[in-house]
Amino acid sequence: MVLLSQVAGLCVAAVCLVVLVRRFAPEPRRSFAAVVAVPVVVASLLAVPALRTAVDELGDARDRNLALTSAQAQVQGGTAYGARTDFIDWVRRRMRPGDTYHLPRIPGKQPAAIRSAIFQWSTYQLTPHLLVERPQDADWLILYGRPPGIGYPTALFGAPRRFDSGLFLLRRLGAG
Amino acid sequence: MRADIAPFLADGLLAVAGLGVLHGVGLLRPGARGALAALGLAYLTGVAAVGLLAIALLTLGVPASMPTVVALCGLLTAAGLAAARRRDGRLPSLPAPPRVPQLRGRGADFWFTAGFAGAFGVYALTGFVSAMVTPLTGFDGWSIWTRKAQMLTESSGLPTEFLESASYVFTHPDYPLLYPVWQSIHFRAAGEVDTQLLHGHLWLLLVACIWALAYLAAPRVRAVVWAPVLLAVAVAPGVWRQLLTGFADVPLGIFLVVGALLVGLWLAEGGREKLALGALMLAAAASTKNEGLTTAVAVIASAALTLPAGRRRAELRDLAVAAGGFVLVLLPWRVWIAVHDIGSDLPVADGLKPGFLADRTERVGPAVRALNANLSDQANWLYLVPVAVVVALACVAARAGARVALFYLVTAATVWALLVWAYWISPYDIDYHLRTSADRVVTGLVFVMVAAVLQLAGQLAALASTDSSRSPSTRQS
Repeated sequence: MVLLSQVAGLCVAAVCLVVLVRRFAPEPRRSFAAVVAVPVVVASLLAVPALRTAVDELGDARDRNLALTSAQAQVQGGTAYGARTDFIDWVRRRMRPGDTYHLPRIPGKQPAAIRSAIFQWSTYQLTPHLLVERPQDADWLILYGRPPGIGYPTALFGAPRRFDSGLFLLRRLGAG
Repeated sequence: MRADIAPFLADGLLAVAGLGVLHGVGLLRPGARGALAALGLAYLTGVAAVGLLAIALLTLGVPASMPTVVALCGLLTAAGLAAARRRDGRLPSLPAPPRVPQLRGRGADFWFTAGFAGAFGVYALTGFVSAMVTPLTGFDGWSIWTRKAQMLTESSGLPTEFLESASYVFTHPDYPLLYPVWQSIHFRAAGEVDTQLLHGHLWLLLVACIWALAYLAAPRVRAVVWAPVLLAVAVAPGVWRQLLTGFADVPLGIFLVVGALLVGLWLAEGGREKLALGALMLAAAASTKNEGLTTAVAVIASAALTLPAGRRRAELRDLAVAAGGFVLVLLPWRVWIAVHDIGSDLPVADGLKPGFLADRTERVGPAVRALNANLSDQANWLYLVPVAVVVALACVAARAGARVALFYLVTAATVWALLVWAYWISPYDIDYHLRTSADRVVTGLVFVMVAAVLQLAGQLAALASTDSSRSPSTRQS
């Protein structure tokens, strides 16, 4: 309904313009040229303040973002969700080209949407390494928010390396 | 140094390739000034042509490496020069600029053009400087598009193991690849994946779009009309804020608006070169997002429906050829995902069954309300859609390019209906799906309406001309 009322309002303005101009037009059809004033006036009136807002906001955003280092900027998408990007970076630096990994879904009390976002961010940050569905198919097992020793074939993996509380990395025995 | 400069050299190469294509089809005025004026359209043409060819080569196992990209740019430039030479440099009939009243020795249009150039210049520079340090934070931006761009950059071809893997179904592996391929070209040129730098090039896409629209509109529409409209498009919050999230909806809209405008101009004026370039832009849109495919099909179908009756057969043939070319360039990716059994999450086949639709009619109302709410959010879109509707209705009432007006109205209605249908058949919870996408999916429709405003306002303004022989439209009904 709002869209219809917006169209109706502008139609009324257009009709008024056509009627006003009609008495001066050499033929009635040419009075419709007055409708051009609608896009011109609307665009002009709205573009100027929008331009000012855009320039201000873009300038403010630039000032905020200049405070970030390049490394911080590259992981902002993950830090926005509270992802431990430092842990994922630590994991990535230990992987060799072509290594695969398994990352179980992230448990915790946070909403499912946030945990899913952290999971997806982690897989993005680990690109081009391939996420595999089963731990037994992976070169590395990443435990994000999970304790070691549960939920995977422990005999296949070496001792867990601890990055921080709840953050572990295990390498497959005999890998490479 | 390489990481900073080389991506811009890649942009330059794409623009040169685009200039070659424009020269080949006869849409480039001669001389340096002509090339400069067409630079925005040239860049978009180069991105579209090189990107589509790169996708086809990827499906054949050829990586989209920098040597490949350079070779494609060279090929397109050479082909354009050869085509132009064959045409003996004869340009198709480009319309003369409309006459304007004088104001202190300069026309009013001069001052509007100068004002627009100044305002847009400040905005473009400010936006570019900010974009260059903007981090990639948009969810789909990193999870879907830049992830694939990085995969393409790190792989020697299509990253089949990722695209086929059930572990990555959340990345929508069936989505078309033009946007990731374009990003990958910049990453390869830089020698690294820099997601901040990427936004600078995204901003250049927007600048190129406005530049291209001005190039197409200026010979046909007075600057008093196109300048404020284009400035409004550029500064609309729904455009620039969304662009800098890294989502694909604004890049989609950029190709759609240029494609729709070129098809609209072909309907009004004729000229196969416009139709050919329009089909290329629509193919680029269809290769950016799946909504681009449905919108492009809506544009082509609406054009077929609104062709003037007197010349219908000849121009239907031209449109059929353009549609055939459109399908041809999309085939490689569509065949590749079919062969690799990569499906869409939308049950399209089921969506054509009345029984399936009847079982979920409760989704239609929320979809209609959400889409209309976002189309009427003028804090984002600055009344571009309502203005387009009013201008189109005025053209119909005045019989000033009524068929072209109907073309845009039918296109818009069809696109809107297809968006409702997509939500109708979607497997996702309707509230979740609308909440996470409705504000973005209307972008393509808004951009198509921008083309409507530019062209139809020009047709209305031409009614006031005292010399009807200067009207840019060579056929009307």
